[in-house]
Amino acid sequence: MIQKKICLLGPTGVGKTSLVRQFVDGIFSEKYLTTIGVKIDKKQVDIGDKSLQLLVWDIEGVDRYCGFNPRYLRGAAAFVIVVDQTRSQSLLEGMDIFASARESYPNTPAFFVVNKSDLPSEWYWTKEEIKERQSRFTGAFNTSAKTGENVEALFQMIASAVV
Amino acid sequence: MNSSATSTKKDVHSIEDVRALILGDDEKRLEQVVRRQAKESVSEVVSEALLERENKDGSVNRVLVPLVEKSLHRSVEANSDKIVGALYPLVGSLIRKSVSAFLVEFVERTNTLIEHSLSLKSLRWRYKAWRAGLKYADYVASQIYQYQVHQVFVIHRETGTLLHSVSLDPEKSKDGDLVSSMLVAMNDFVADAFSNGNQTDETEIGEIRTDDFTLLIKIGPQAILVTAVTGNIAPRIREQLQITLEDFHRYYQLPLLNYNGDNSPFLSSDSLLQDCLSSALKKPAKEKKRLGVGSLILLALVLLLGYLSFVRMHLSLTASAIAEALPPPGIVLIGNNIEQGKVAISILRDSAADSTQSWLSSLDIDLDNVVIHETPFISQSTDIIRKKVARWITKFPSVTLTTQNNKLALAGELSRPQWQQFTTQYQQITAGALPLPDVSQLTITDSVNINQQDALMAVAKDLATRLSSYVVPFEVNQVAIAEQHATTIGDIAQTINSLHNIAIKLNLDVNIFILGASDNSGTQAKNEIVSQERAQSVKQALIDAGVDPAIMYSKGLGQLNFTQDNSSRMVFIHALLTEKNRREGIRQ
Repeated sequence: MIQKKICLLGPTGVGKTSLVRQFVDGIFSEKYLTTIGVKIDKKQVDIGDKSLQLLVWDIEGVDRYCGFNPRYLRGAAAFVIVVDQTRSQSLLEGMDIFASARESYPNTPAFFVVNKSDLPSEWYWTKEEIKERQSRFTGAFNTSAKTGENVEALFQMIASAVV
Repeated sequence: MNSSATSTKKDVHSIEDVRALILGDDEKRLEQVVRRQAKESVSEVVSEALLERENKDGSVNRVLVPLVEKSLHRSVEANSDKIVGALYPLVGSLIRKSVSAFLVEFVERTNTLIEHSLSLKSLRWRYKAWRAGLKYADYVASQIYQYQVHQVFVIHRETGTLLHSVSLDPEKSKDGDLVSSMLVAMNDFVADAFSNGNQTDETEIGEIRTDDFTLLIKIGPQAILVTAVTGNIAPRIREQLQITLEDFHRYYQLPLLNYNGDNSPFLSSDSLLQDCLSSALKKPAKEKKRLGVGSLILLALVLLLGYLSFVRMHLSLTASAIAEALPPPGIVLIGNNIEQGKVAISILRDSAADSTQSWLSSLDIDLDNVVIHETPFISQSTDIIRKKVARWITKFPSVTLTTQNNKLALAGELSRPQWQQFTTQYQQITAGALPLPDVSQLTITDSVNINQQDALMAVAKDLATRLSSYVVPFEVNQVAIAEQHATTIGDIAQTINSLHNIAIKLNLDVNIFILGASDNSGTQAKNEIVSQERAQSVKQALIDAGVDPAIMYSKGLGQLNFTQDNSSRMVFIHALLTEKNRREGIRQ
């Protein structure tokens, strides 16, 4: 079986861990749990006749006061930048993280995820501004870890891209 | 032949001449153009050409290798400082890690040896190592390092994905995928948190230890080898891990370099990883068996010692019982000790006494445990003498010897010669220890002229003579009869009574004179008194023994100057037989 390492990055509280839990276990917890360091899960996905095991590295939330350890991205087949559409600041921070990751890993496929689509959008970014940023990524999704919207599709696309 | 060579030379010169004639000064320019074009053409195809030729016959390699080696050699000689500077960070790090690993193992082993060198256990281990023909250090290692490698992981260093794993018990094996990723993440964290900023000197996790198990981590260029071990880990396990990791890199170099998440090339590494699933655990059954042999020997020794102690104690008790028992008459115990597992007793035994064996049997003593050393002797015991007399008297069938009130009495009839024989032999047997038996019921006949009166007179005279031989000695300044002379008093009383009875039959008066004397150690007056009191003491003792007081007269003689100082402190007896109402005594 092929194994691939996928990293989830993003500011604190955007829902990275919830996305993984929704993807791996199919459940969502209202309880907020800050991830400490790295949390790793795995899930098997089928792409056509191929079976692929994704090892999802849920990397600690990053904010302006602390950087992130680029070593965690080493060997990753793809990484995902997650932002939260209820917080404008999360997009800026997410793009900063993306820029940092690109410095070390310029060729690794990257995906852009706007999470919490079940909640009303509260940020002031226009669609054009969002699209402009999305264009820098291999793919982009609006997801809801709570309802599960697009979560499966997100990882299916990642798997297709890295296989 | 020479002519041919000459013609070839001429042809070459002719061509040169023609070329010079046609090209003139343009020849050099033309040559430069051709060179430039050739360089361009070759530069475009040189790599492919070299690869093609190499694939075709391998000649490129043969040509290049000596050239490269020569160039490298020259370069090292010319630029050694630069090359050392470039290699140092890489080689230095490897050497440092290697030396560090060696020192850790060395110190661990040394600590263990020191820890177990100064104890009783170490002496036992030295003995066992000597018996097993092992070095002490090796034996200590085998005793100290009890461990079990439960699971082995090989992890792709770059991605943190698990390449392959083997487990001692597959059912209990941990989720290798997540463990592998987590370990790599932790290693990344440690490298990030604790490295000193030098990219070439990366800090790495070597070991993770919990209460239950230890994760040993060996990191290679492309792969990480991790083992989950329980117990006290022997240094050689780390060495084994290093060797396995190096082998893994050697055997799977290409799959590691081209890794894209596909683990199938590493499935064949099972046998390689199995080498790490070693263990060194004590085997209780075998240990028990070894202990069993030792225990049996120890038990046998304890039982033997216990048996010997028991035997020794039993013999001591037997010896003690013999020593404390009162021997029967005629047997005297003179020695008693334990020799060669038996009680050896030395005794004096009169022939008339009971056998020693019967005496010991009466004490419930096992005769098998006793060795008897007998020495014959003649006993002065009254019982033994009486036995001898009883045995001897059977020679005189005409008389019977009876015991009345613990006194012997002879009844029946004896001729005078027989009587004389009786008295003589009786004296020999008893050695004076027993008085003559009461003979008042004895009739002595004379074979020639039977005269009963004469016979009785002879007996009376004999008894009177015997009375004169009695002496009761006293200590200095003592008037009381010593206890040991009570028997003598009894004998005297019996003899007096016998004489008195015969005297009555003969119609004679008998007078017993009890004469006391003293030595010359005091004043004469004092000695008079002492001698009188001694005589009176004997008289009173005889009265107490049943002698008629009317026939006894006591008299103190005062001091008698005998040659021997103490021989005169005594009382002696004299019997006087007289016819009735006559003062003249009968001649004895």
